[in-house]
Amino acid sequence: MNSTRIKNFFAILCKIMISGLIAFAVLTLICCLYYNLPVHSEDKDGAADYKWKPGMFYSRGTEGFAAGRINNDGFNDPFDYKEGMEISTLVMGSSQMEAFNVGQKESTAAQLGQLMKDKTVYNIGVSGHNLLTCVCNLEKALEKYRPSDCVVIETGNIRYSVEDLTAALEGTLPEITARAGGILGLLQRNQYLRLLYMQLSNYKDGAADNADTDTAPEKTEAADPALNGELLDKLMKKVSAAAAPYGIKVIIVYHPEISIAPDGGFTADTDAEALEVFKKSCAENGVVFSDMTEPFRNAYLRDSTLPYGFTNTSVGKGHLNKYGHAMVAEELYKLISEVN
Amino acid sequence: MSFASIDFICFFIIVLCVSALMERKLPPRSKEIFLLLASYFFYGYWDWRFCFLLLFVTTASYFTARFSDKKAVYCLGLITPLAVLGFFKYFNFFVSSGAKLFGSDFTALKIILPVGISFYTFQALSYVIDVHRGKMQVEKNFIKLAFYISFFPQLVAGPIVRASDFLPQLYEKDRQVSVENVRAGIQIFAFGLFKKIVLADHLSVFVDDVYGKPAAFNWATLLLAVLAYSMQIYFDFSGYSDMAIGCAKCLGYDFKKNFNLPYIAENVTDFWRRWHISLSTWLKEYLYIPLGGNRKGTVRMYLNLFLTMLLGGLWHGANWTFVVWGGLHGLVLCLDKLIGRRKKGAAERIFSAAFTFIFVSFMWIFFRSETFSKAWTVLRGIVTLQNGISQPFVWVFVSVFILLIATIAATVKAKKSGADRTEGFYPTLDLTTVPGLTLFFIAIGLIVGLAYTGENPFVYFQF
Repeated sequence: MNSTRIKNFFAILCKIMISGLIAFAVLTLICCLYYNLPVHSEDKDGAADYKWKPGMFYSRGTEGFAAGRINNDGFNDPFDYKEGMEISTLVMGSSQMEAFNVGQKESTAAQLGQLMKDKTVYNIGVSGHNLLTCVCNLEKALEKYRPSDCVVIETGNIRYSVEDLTAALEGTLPEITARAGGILGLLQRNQYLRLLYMQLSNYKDGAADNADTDTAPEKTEAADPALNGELLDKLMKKVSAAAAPYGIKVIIVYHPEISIAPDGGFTADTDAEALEVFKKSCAENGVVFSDMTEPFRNAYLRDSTLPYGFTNTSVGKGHLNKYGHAMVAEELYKLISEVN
Repeated sequence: MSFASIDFICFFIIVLCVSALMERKLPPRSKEIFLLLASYFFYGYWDWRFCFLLLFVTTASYFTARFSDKKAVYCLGLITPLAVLGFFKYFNFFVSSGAKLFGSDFTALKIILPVGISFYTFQALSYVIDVHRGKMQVEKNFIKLAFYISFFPQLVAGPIVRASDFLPQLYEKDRQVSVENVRAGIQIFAFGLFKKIVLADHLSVFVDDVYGKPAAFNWATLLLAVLAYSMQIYFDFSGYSDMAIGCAKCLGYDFKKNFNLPYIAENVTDFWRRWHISLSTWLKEYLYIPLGGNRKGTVRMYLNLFLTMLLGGLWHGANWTFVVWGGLHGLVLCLDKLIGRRKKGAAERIFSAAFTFIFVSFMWIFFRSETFSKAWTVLRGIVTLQNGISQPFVWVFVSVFILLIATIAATVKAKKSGADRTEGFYPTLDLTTVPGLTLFFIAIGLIVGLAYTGENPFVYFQF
């Protein structure tokens, strides 16, 4: 009697395990198309805190629908990097520039490249790289890629805390870990587990935009803009000093969060005082500042186009969509043409 | 504690295991006491103070039903739950409406609406009325009655289980946590979970956006939002009902179906036979028929029908938009009765179903909008072909596609079995086989992977 029970128990257990394994394999296959982000890898050159494993296919259906291939250098560019290639514009930034939510040819860098025709625009935007991280990596990025015309740094935030600004100036800003090794490194190689990880993180945070923790858009931090003026000034000096040996211009492109009022009115969520402080710091240190507020507003008023949001997420929130990328690219094109 | 939360899953697994253990090791009464305590814990998890309100309604029903042959006691049995409901849900509404009418100032009282109050007060009422009518015997065991009123799967958002359907189950010995019940129950629960956290919650993102600022969107997007809300409320509420049915099934109890493919209804009467069946049955039994039903002449029948729907609308929420929604449904129900029935061809039936769906969807505008002015903005935007933001939200198309597949499957099943009426069904798998288990695990994996992870309570929690 007991042995029959034990046999039955093991038979059921076997069935559950076999079914579980098959189901896991099927789910992983489904995720290869639905949510297949590349694996993190270290950037030994220091142009970014981390990059992606070269040559990997990626796809994403959680926020927008996009697919592509990471180039041989570990960044999301539609072409491979060749040692010593002539780059005219280097684009740095966060997940907004990385652009995993739009087609590879629809990213800001790719569209800017199309506008600039015979010049090469190279994009090294990686998730989580806010303005401060980019500034910390600027020197090494310029050393490696040596752009001939300018470097663009994207930001969705112009207010930083004193602690973060000080850390960026002192070079003590915590590095974003590549998470390429250990259990996390191993787990991220399975697409379904990665999707579960994102779901769990979002559930814990109550995040509604289905952006994973890696690629969530940067959130604005509260700070005292008056006090930051001095520190921002020092930060911009650091930026100018890094660019000076190459004789190139630095452009900081700021894209504010936007909101639509119940009556249909457009509002950019920018702290006017902080914006003035930031603009002043840029101007005084020879850094070109581009504010996307007006282009965004004009596009909305002209044909109700919003720069953020996708057909599977909240309207006007989250990452830049293809229209947003196009607007930023056009603005940058105008600026670069003027600067040069 | 929402069904679609990790807290609930943990709570339910513990309750299921302990119930199974108690059934086998302890006398039957202990399981009921345990489930009663678990239900109060479930309710108190939201706000423990309202456990006393639940206990009060239960106690009042218990004693008044025992002496419901005396008119005064019976009236007290009716008035008590209605007074509780009236105070917590409608006091501010009626007083502020009255104040507005007479142009006087009124500062609303800070009254918290207890979750599920509309459901458990209706259950308590149905018990007292059924005992008074002699349709069922008085339940002398307080634990059983308290268990019936507070049983956690149906406590906060229905279905409104009738005492005559549930209490007899507590005397049946085979109502146990068995492997078969758990196998069936978890599949029904998963089915509901999919409807809620994958479909309804994703749709809510779009619906909230559009209904939050209808003036900003173009007419096509407004129309899509109207369709999206029809899908959202169906998947949300029927999903919750499925989860409740699944939970109860796991524990060995049966609830009746609460939704039966409502969007294939060929007329509004048919719609109300398929939508929130437990409420429409309750309203018919305890409101329409006592008002006189169709026994007091044609005019009175129409009036009763209209009044029933008007009050049914008000039951959904203390807002005039709900009253108008109910009233419009009432008017069309009267019209439907006036026109009468005749045999229809296939094409005509499809046309009727489409027409009914369009009517029901447009009525949801009043149900979803917080104010008449917002409802009007949505309607005006559609009619005037308003310009604005275009948002072809993908989850609307996914939901419509899934609903179409379900409808086709139900129609094919009905045809095969030679049934006159298309009925919804739960696509249950044989979980004793590897293919069945594999499909079930894939389904669970997809539900977790595709779930909307933001905060989003069940629509019917507010009622």
